[in-house]
Amino acid sequence: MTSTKSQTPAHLTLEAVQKSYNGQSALAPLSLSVNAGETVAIVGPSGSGKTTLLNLMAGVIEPDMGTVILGGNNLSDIQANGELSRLVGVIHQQFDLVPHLSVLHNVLAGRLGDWSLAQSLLSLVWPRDRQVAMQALDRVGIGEKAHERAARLSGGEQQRVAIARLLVQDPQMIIADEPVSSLDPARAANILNMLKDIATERGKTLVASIHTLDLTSKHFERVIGLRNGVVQFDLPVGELSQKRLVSLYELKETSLGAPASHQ
Amino acid sequence: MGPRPAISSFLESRRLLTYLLIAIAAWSTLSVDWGGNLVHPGGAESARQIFTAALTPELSSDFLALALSASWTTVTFAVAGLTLAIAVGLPLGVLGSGVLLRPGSRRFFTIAGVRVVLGFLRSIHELVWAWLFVVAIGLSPIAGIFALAIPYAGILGRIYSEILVDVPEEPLNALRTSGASEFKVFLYGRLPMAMPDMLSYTFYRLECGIRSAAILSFVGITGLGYQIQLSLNDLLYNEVWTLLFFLVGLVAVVDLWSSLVRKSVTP
Amino acid sequence: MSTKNIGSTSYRRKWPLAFRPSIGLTSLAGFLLLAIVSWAHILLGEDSGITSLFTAQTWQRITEFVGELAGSGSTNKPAFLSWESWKHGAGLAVDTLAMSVLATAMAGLAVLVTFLPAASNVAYGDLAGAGGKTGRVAFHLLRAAFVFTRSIPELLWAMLIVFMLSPGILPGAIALAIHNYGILGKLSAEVVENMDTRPAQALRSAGAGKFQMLAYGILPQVLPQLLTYLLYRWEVIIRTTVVVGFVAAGGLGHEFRLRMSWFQYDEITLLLTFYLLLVLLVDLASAGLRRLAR
Repeated sequence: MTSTKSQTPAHLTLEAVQKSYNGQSALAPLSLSVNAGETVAIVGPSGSGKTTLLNLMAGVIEPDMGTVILGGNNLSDIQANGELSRLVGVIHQQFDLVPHLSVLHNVLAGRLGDWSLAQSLLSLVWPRDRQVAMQALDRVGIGEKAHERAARLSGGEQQRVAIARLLVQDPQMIIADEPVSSLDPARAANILNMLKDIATERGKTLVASIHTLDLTSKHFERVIGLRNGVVQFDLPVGELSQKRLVSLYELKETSLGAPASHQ
Repeated sequence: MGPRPAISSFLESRRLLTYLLIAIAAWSTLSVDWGGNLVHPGGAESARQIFTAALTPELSSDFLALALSASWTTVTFAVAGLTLAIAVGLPLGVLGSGVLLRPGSRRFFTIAGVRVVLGFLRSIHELVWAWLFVVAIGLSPIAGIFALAIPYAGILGRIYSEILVDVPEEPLNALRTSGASEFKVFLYGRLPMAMPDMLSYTFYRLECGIRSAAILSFVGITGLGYQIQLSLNDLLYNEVWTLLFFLVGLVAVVDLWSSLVRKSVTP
Repeated sequence: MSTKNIGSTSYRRKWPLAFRPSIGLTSLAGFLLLAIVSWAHILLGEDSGITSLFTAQTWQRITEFVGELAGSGSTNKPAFLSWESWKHGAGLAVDTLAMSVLATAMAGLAVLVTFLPAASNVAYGDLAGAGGKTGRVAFHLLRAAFVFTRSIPELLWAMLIVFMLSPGILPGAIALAIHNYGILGKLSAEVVENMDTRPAQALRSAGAGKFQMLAYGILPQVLPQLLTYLLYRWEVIIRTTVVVGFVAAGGLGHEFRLRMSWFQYDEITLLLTFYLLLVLLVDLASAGLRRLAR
């Protein structure tokens, strides 16, 4: 977002956050903040550090330096998965579901943070909180598949189940790591639309990494460009120019001459 | 990486493997006493009798009833032994896979320790265990069951721990971000994903267990093996073949059941 | 994005439980039932002798036995302290090792010659072109042979063979080979059935004859896996070789039987030690050779 200080503190703040792997820097020191209810897209070529950034925001990994603060909590201080899951939920490109379990069980996994061990065990045989799960499944439009094994669903349907799980989990913020990269353009638009609608209608903050640029401009308010672990730009989506995008994804000149292709 | 010295690439080559295998096989044939008395005197005649009896198995209703009852006894022993093996092998397998422990020295030593125990359990053949038990506690069905269960527990434990470790990580990570603690991740994610292979291998072990139980009846438990021994001592080859056909039939049925299960649980 | 409410309501009523009955679950239930019945049959059977098991007398017998294994019963020096016994045992161990190798080699060779026709994609012509009637007959015969040979335990094969051949290493090795032929044959045929057929088919469409396709399209893919299975079987075979020796009178197993009948339990401990050493040796050798096969 732009210059003016807002009265309410930002929902998510990264302060001087840095991460390296095996001596190689994945993310140069960066700071940014996201307000509650914003929809942010992260764009950049492969290897630019998008996944690292998202994992840091989700508390899945810890930064080498700096702090990540979400909803007033320092994420490094939170140890229990159950506590963290109330603040942030994650959806990946694919393979999020347990293929051997039914759709219903996969959705109900969103409640695992709140259930006791005994309740979790029992639920494997007699599912608890079915109402909540069925409502979520209806919201994403696949209520009739509740008892199918997750492996039998198509890619798009599986992503809907993952979204339903997020609904049940009900976190304050949703992180989506290339949620539609495995889907064809029509389904990708469909799923992304659903994700964004759900986030906005429930007032959740959404941060997603997207490869397709026209999806970015249609569904997000703000876009951050990343390249080699450094933020290249951080703009309202209206101010994003084609030229900026092209230079973000451009290949370096190879020894053979002109760059081979654009992404 | 520059060109590797000839000797080290030879040591890692298939060629070395081939030479080694041929050398070992050749040495083994030299150990046999190929002298004149290879064939039993009267052996050729016995061979002929044994083979022809295969075509005329004993089919009287009395004997068939005996064969059926012996088969049932063998099955009960196999199942009893296998269930005991699962009861011991499953916890050891979970423990020895290290999936429930956080990385650290405690985990390393637990895994190593369990591996050693499992290795020891499965290194001794069930018949040897059976003999040890019989001498120690006398002829008893329990001797046979324990003798079967011990090596099988070792094998099951080893295989279970490998299956549990080989499970894909992504769904497990997704469960963690959904808020599941490590143990719930194990229950909801790892175990369901490992279950098909574990189930399939356990049914395979049932098939092996039938064969083992048949042999174990030599230590005094009744069953197919015991009856075969009786008939063999009396040189009643037709009876022997009937019993063998029952054994083959049992194994084939379990094998079929096993492959049905395998096909149905793969998602 | 309209939500479909109609279908889901009626579906909700149908399955109260989470799992639909499937073959896997009914089999599990069936197995549990079988387990309960089996244990009941054994524990409640007439001469189960369960009650007499947990008495002080049994415990005494066990401790005595362990003591005798450690050498308390022998008249002169316990066996594992005698150099002669160790030398003798080592010779037997070598014989046992040879028997296991011979058995593995024979089984491997037999499988190598017969595994291809036993693969359904070869027999039914998906792979090599026209399968033909002989192909199908051979397939079924071989598969039946696999089931038959592997259903009969090695010990039983050994008992039969000892009627025909003199006791020694060879009959034991043959018994082991026959049984393992069935196991390896099935595994090898399955490797061919599950392999990637595209290289072989590509060769065929490029004009390769049957043998060329075999040599360049099938064997390179399949042989390493077969070898791995063979080496894994060797680990199992060495454990069974001792047992087969009981009957076929070769190696450690034969000596085991003798000492058993003379109640010389301290010698048994020595033999068991050699047994464990052999098992360890073969496990290591197998792992090393398998790494080479990669």
